[in-house]
Amino acid sequence: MILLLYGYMRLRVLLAVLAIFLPLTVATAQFDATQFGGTPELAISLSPSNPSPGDLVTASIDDYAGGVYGSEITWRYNNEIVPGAINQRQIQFVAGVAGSNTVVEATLSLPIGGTRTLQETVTPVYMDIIIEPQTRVPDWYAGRALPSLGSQINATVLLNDGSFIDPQSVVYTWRVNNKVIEGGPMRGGNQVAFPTPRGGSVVVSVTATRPTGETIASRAITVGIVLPELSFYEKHALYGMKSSPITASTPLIGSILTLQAEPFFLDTRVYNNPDIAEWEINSVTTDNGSNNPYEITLRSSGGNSSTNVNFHVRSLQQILQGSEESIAINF
Amino acid sequence: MKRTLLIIGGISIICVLAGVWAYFLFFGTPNPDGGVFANFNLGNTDDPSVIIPIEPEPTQPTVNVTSPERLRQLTTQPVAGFAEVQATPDSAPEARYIEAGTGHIYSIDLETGVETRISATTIPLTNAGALTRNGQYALLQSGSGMGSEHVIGIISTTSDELRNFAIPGSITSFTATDDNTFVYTTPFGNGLVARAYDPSTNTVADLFQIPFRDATIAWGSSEAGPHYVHPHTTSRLEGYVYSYTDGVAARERASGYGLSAVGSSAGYIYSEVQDGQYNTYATNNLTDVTNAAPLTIIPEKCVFTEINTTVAICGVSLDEYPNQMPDPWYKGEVRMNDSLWEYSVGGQSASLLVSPENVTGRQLDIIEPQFGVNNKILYFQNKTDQTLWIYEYIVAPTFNSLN
Repeated sequence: MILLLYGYMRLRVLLAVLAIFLPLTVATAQFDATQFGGTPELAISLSPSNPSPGDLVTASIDDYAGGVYGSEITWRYNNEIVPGAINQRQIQFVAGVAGSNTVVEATLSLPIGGTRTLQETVTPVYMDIIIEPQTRVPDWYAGRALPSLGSQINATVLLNDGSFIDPQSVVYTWRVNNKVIEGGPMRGGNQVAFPTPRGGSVVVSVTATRPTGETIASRAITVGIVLPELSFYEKHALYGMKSSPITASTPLIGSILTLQAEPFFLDTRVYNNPDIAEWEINSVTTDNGSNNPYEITLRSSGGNSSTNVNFHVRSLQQILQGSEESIAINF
Repeated sequence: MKRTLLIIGGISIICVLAGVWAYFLFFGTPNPDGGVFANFNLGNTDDPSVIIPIEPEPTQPTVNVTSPERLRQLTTQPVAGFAEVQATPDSAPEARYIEAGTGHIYSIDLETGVETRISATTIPLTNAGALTRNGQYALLQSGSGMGSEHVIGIISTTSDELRNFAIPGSITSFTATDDNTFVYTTPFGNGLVARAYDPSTNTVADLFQIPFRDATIAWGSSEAGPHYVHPHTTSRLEGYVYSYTDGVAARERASGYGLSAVGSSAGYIYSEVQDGQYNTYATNNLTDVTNAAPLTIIPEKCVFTEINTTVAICGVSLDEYPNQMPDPWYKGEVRMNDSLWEYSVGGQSASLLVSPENVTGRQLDIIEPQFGVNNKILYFQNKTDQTLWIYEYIVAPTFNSLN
């Protein structure tokens, strides 16, 4: 009977203890890091996490649990002790050449005795994002086209770890202004095309992972968006376009002048099929009389005269896809 | 009819004719077009069927190429391409150029200055060209953009007729190598493929592929390279430099906005915009070290010597560069007043060779620098008028450091 009573008392005490501590345990579990992928362990974190060759990299000890407290820290870089870094929580170094493996180690001599070694391997990879806007620049122009609102941008990413990585072995996730495009990650999708969104710039980012999920590199770039710009060039029937645009101060020789309007950075689709391509001579709309809407031939009336020439090209569907400019021609 | 009526009628007709004659004499013909705008209905001037009048063949030099000055103007007309040609190892080198607009090819005896037209075949709207070192072949570009055509010309030694045939497809960049082949790029998928065409055997070989279209190629002097490739340059987009040697691609360290580069086997010079400033750097492949250059240079104005591959000759303007460079220079909005400098990538030093403005009184915007046989003569064009110039280059014995 006494034993039975004793057992009953033990059960009540146990239930009381459970009643007090169980809610606390559950509440604690809500913030348990295991919910987010693992117990917070000591580790080395890198910034940037996927460096390019030559990047300045910061290696830090992640110590959310306070496990480093009181430890002596010794840093090693490719097995060589880093001088002056004793007991530092972070070190900086320059990433090596593409594809090289650099081992960063932090050895902790714990105050309770024993050591613990943290290790991270850095393999720098070049991630080049090449932007090729599909806007108009003349054939002789050595520079690159720039994106204007609504025009198409072709983007290519090239990965190089000492040699170019076969795109087919990589899964690419592209984002434009933080929105994933192409429906999600694409294996072998190192080239995409997307329309230029509204705004002064667009952020293009891409993450390259192996099919197993391991991140190779990740990068974001900001691409400025411009408005089309119109310049006038003198066109010689034999030699083609002159290398400098015509300005009001440009001396013109002869009584006949062929002008070429060059709308830099106009969407190529608009350039090839403009809704408006209009010349005005002294504020009078004029037929340019040519198959080429961007070209007009002028003839001097004799003497020193100034003629105001205006050209306007525009899309009526995308109103910002256009440009208008005037120039005074002094024969 | 009465005789008097006939006489009166005749006198009346004479009076009317005299009146008309007097009107035209004093008032001239009416001007119907107002003199403001004329529609000539000439059609697109890109039309290659336009007939170009053939000018009489000049036999005397139009500029004094035998002047004792080391810097001399070789042509007065725009040039589409040029090369120093040596038909055989024993023959004297001669300058050859392709006339812009007509595609006529001229040869200039560098000793006597006599100019001879060796091809009178007109290829209208020629705006770019290359000539092989042996003087036997030419590659000419006619027109621009989608309407451009590329023609291989076989130069005759017995007549002034250029046997020619068109290369099918689109060519985005080309040059002639020291070993008498043409190297060029043509679109292939979403990128480009570089090919070598040997006109003596009429064979084509693939050299390498570039995985994007908007590529600028600084061609090496041989098929093997190194050829330096980067996306077309703009100060508003990032660029990267790749080199191709024996068909193998390598990513060079240089990257940045406004990036362009030119190089040799020993290294490369590149410029980019950093913190709003256009700066120049040089990477020495032998030491794997990159340094800031003592001068700000547009790399397209440089050529490395073949005698010493760490030395480049560059057109350099000491004026302040706009921070949007090189875009305004490409557009023609900015003109440079260049001097020729010798720049040692190894020694990180530069020395002035000549200031065209001081010597000739003219400002030159130097483009397309190219060496002749044994690097004795440097050829280049003035961007403003496309004329051809030469500079007798002698390796400077010492460098005066400019830092």
